[in-house]
Amino acid sequence: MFDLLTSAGFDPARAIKAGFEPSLVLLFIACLIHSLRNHGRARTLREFVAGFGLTLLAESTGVLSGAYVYPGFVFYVGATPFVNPASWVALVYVIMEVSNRLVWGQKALDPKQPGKSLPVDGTSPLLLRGSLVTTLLVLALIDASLALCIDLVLDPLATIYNWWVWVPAVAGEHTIGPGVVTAYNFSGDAWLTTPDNPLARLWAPAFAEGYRYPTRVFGIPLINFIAWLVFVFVYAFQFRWVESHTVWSERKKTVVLWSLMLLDWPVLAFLLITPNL
Amino acid sequence: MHFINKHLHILLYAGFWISLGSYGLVAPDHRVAELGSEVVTKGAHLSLIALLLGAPPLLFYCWRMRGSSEVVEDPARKE
Repeated sequence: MFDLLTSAGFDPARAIKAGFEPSLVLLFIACLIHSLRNHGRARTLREFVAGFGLTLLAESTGVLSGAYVYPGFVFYVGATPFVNPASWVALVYVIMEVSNRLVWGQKALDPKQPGKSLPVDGTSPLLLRGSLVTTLLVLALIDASLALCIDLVLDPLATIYNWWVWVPAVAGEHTIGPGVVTAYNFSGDAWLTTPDNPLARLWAPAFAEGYRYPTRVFGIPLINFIAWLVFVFVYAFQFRWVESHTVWSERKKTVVLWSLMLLDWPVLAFLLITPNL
Repeated sequence: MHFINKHLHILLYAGFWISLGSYGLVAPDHRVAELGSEVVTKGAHLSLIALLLGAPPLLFYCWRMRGSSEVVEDPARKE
């Protein structure tokens, strides 16, 4: 198929790489508008800022520690493309609503607001005849599993189309000189440079042999998939838990959720970057 | 509009999977080879994985939402 398209003068790799950022911006905008219409400003701000902030901090830590780079995007926030945390929070927004409908079917739909799920609280059906916490854990696990399924396909495609590029897991290769990562170079290997900054030096002892994340699934470091599962699980559980407190004020919910995210960032970063799986 | 608002999540979710599956179909072989995977050796393998992982939740959703185009009864009104 690739050969057929290129012989017709169309380079699908280039087109897909170029279309990646705008398509994710559209996804983010669609989810943001839908959330504003159906969940109101307070919850939308709380949810999107929490997810965006957590991912931005975690991604920046990963980039600055030398695990991977994001070449060829237009809009960056620090070292991370804007669309990366934006699309993450949009995808998790989509996934959590899909999970609600998969679990409860039509009962998940609020008849007064068609796009909105009923709140998971004491008045909603609980799962496995369990408590609210059990229900939230089950839902968060379904959220994380759906996200992991997407990531299992997304990440190999990201490597193929240079959406982001992992440091090769071969000794010494990540020390090759700068300026060799070209966003639209699909002809050969894209070698990387581990950045020389305090964050990279902090994690350097964990990769003393020069190998980073040698265990690969579909060519992608195993730890990446573990990180996706853990991040979505933690975020979804905490978000759902906060939203389940229907008696809390919007302000209290926001303060609690954002505080949890700020606590999550260093804990998850250290837990998920250090193991050299 | 009502339908889109109610089912936007699954429409976006399906669209995402369809995009991923089609990207696999047109993936250059030499780039797929760079993955160094024994399972994924051609782009079409990623499309197949996308189908296997993406289709079941979509079908289950359709089954769970069957007949949801009708007006859902307000549980509060029932009481």
